[in-house]
Amino acid sequence: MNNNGNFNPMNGGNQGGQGSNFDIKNGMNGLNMGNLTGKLGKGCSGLGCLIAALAALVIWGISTYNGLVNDQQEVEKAWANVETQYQRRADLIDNLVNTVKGYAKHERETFEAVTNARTKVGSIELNAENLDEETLKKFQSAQNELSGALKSLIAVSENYPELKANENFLQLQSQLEGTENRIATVREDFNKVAKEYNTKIKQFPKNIFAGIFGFKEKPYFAAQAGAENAPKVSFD
Amino acid sequence: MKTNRLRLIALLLTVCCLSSTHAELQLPERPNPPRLVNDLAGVLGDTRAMEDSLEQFAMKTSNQIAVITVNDLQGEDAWYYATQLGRKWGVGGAKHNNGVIILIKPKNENGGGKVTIQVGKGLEGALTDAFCSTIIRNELIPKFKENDYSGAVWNALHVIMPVAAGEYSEEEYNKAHEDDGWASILCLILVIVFMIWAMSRNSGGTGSSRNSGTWGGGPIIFPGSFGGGHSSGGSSGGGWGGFGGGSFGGGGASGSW
Repeated sequence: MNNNGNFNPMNGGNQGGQGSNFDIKNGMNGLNMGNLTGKLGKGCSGLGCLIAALAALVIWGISTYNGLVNDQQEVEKAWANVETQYQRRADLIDNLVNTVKGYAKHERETFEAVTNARTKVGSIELNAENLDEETLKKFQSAQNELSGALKSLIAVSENYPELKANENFLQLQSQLEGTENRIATVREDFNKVAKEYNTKIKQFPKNIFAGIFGFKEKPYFAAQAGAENAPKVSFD
Repeated sequence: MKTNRLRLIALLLTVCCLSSTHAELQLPERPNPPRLVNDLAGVLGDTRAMEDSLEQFAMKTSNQIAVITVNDLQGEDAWYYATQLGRKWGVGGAKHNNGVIILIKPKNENGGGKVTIQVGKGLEGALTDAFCSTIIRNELIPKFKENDYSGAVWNALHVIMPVAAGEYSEEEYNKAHEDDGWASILCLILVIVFMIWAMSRNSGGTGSSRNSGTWGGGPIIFPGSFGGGHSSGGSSGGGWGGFGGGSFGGGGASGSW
């Protein structure tokens, strides 16, 4: 299957190549006829070669450019998935906070930490285009702060047996856990796609194109030792 | 001599493990011929009925539910192990990502019991995280605690299969579970009536008339739903077409006991 996928674009590329080769050959034929008549032809034949080489270069350039654009779009898609999952988590917060508040009114600090971390996350706007190491680091540290605050919020339930047994709370807890897992997955996927893309734009001769057309290196999510692990649900 | 050699091997193994700081997850190979029940930890007993049931379900609905048991998660979380395994094997269709993985790591010398239900994106709507968590709490963990692994999985499958097929919903389940007492009594009565009826047929009728009865050829979608009453024909294997390249994104729930 993979071979097939690779084969088709090459076919397309060849067809394009043949098309232009054909034109150039016609031109060369004309020039060769000129060659029979005079010395001038030698220079012209060289010119024909140059044109052919240029045409090949342009075709190669276009296909390289298109390839890079495709890869960039894959990175953007992976980033969109990352944002979706973080948003999914943000959407859970209201419900979670309200449920916990119903049983644990006096955990003000914990609620405040969640609210603050959430505001911080909301203030960072990041799209695939302005992704660089610094912005991603900021984004990640804000999200990590929220992860920590949510973990403390879940941990509050340990002191409130009624909350711990509340069906609504259990459901929200499992949704949060699933969402944290989704986040971990999309982050890993993003890193994988970004790595493929980065490798391509750094390889010679593609790096020349990448430089000319402004394909920038994409940053990676840093692996988190334990910090990203979702709060564990245990039924002992 | 022998112990020395063993020690050397053990030492070498430790060195190998230590040298690769984040050791690559060594996932089991995709079963060939493809199988949906992979009892690698050997805790499910005879899995033929379960395999048949899941294969028929896959053929009927295209949803693939894989049941996998392993002895060791290699230090990973159950959900992560299941996600990676599901992607490697390609459980579910590639287009709809309609696979489900029930991964069980039994309680053993490697630590406590862990279970996860991981759901492909295509089935996340029916099998939500919260619902998977409910299934784990209500159907799986209590039976795991009794060491009845097969019974636990059957219980979970009896909920997951109709829900994944769209014949039954999370709300209906939760409602039924609320008045669980009545439901189980009703079930028990039904089973008893059914058994009496079957026995009376058995003693009165001949073999051929039994075959023409509803018991053998009726549209029983989920064989085994009455605890071992599995009735499908021999499993030739591969009839369900094998894994379809589905992916997993972390949706689902986990639990431990």
